[in-house]
Amino acid sequence: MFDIERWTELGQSLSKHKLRTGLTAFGVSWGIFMLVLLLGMGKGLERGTMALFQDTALNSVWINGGKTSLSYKGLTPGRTVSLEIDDVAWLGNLPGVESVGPTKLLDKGYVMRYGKNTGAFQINGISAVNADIQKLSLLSGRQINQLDERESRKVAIIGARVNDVLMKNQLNPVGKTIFVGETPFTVIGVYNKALGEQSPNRVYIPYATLRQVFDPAPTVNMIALTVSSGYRWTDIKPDAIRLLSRRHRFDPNDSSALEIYDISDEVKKVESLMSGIRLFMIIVGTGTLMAGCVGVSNTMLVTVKERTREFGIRKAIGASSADILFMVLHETLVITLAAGYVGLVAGVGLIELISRAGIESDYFRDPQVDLSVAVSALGVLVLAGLIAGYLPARQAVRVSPIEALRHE
Amino acid sequence: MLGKHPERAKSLQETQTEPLKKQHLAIDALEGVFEKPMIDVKTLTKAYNLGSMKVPVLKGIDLSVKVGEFVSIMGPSGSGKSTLLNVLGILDRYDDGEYILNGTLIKPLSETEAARHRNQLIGFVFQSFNLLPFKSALENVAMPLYYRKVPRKQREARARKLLERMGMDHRMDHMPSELSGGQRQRVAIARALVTDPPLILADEPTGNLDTKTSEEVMELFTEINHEGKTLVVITHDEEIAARTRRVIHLQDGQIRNF
Repeated sequence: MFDIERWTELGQSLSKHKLRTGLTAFGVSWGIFMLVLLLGMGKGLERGTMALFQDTALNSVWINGGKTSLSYKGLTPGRTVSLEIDDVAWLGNLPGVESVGPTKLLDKGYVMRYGKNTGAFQINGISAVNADIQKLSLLSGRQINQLDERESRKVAIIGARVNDVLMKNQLNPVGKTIFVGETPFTVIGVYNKALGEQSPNRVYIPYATLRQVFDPAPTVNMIALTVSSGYRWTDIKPDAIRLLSRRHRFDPNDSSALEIYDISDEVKKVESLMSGIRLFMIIVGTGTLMAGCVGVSNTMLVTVKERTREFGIRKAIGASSADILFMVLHETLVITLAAGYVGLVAGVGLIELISRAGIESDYFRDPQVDLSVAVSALGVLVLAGLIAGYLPARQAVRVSPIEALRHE
Repeated sequence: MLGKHPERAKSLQETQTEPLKKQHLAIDALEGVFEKPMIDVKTLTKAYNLGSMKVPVLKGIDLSVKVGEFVSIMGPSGSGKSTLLNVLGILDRYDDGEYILNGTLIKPLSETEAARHRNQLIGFVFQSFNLLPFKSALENVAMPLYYRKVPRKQREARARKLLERMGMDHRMDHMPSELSGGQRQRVAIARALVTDPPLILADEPTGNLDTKTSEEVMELFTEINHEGKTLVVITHDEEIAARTRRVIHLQDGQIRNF
């Protein structure tokens, strides 16, 4: 029902009352803008935090050796528990363990060379299983596989920092050979992110290769295992602890003998934190929306009160109450929709800008707006405006025009 | 004003749109019969509810205004003048009795029908002019035609004619705030005439004007009356009432007969 006359009349009414129109519009725009920003930032926080786990199998458990705190079978407390490669095999036999693999980080850095460039970096030995559990985020190339491990191949996944130093950030270093001391390693991949690393400046090689070339000791820093579906870590944990306590002679009740890091537990913690944040956002968002509604309603109420006289005049010259109500609703609808749209675009635009600018940290990345939520919020504001316009307008048109016109 | 430009009045009638012209011819025919009243009110009552109390305001009004008459209704404040004007202007309902306006029984009208009748039969002129402050003189005059769904071009052409006739040629695009009281009232009268209604209801039309301007407005009303329009002026000013052809006195909700 597009009626050009109605729109002309509407345009005039709005443009001749710039302050009134502006205030209503600003209220709606600001409310939607803030809401969109809030939702977008919340989403960014959620994504950033969940991204911390993105390269890790969510059913994985990491076990480090610790220090005993209880005496056990005549042994004094304070001994270091040092895990070994045989533990890996034993743990692998436990029911409910899907896969298990070692990690060994060499303490000192090794000087590496490519052409004339050299640099010292730490070497981390992992197995193909670890590659599955803790996927390195590869910029190019591939992960370490079973064959690399079985044949103790001299292959390496280098960090982006390493690539930067040794190869001056070559676009594709995969297939090139770097020297660690005098031992040549073939680069099979470049990673830019790994769990527990601030910047990608390590070199990952197969654990078997590490023992053969650098350190024959059968020790491991950390054992990574994944839990079969249908099992939970809590089912397996007592068996695993009993097994390791027997092998390394510590009290199974000694909680400091092993450092166990259950990813699913961590995920659960973060998820509960996230749902807390989400609840907070819902409350703040609803509050923002309510403030917007009150603002719009208030402006509409005052506006309609102010216009009682105008309505009286219009009625006296032949407008029906329905004409006037329709006019008020039409104006409200146009202002709130247009202003809401502006707020929506501004909010989404800012979020998009933040996202494009690549502003991100460990806990924040890629903010995004759930448009359906933003649009529903706009719907609520429009509805509030309509109700807040309609109710007093209905009152106003009931007033006899003569009364309205006499009382100045 | 009008007296000096009788040819303008004539040209105005010639430029009326087709339905307006027909209506006017119908009124001319009625004038021939002359006994047909424009306003016919019989034992009309109205009371306002004040809490649980009913306060009677109009206590059985009998009033007849013939087509082409120029009457004034006088009375002190509280006499029911404005209530009567509300009822006559179809702006308010009445309780009992009968009100026939131009042959139509007003009582059972729906809101929309009432608005249509107001638009077609009645032109209002108010004490405080009641122009829309954010519209120019021309737009104010054209407003009633908007509610009659007349296209913009025609609305403005007709409004322009009327403003010219009121001697407001050079003030058409001025806002009401830029006009003097007399000029505003002339714009308001033009607005009342724009739909060519057979009845003009004026509520204290000179209340906010000085003596000289009041004179001019009453002169204008007389001219309009000569064109065949029925005029009802509500006033408490003896001099203004004296300019009309019949004075009706209202007191305590009843017509007082001398």
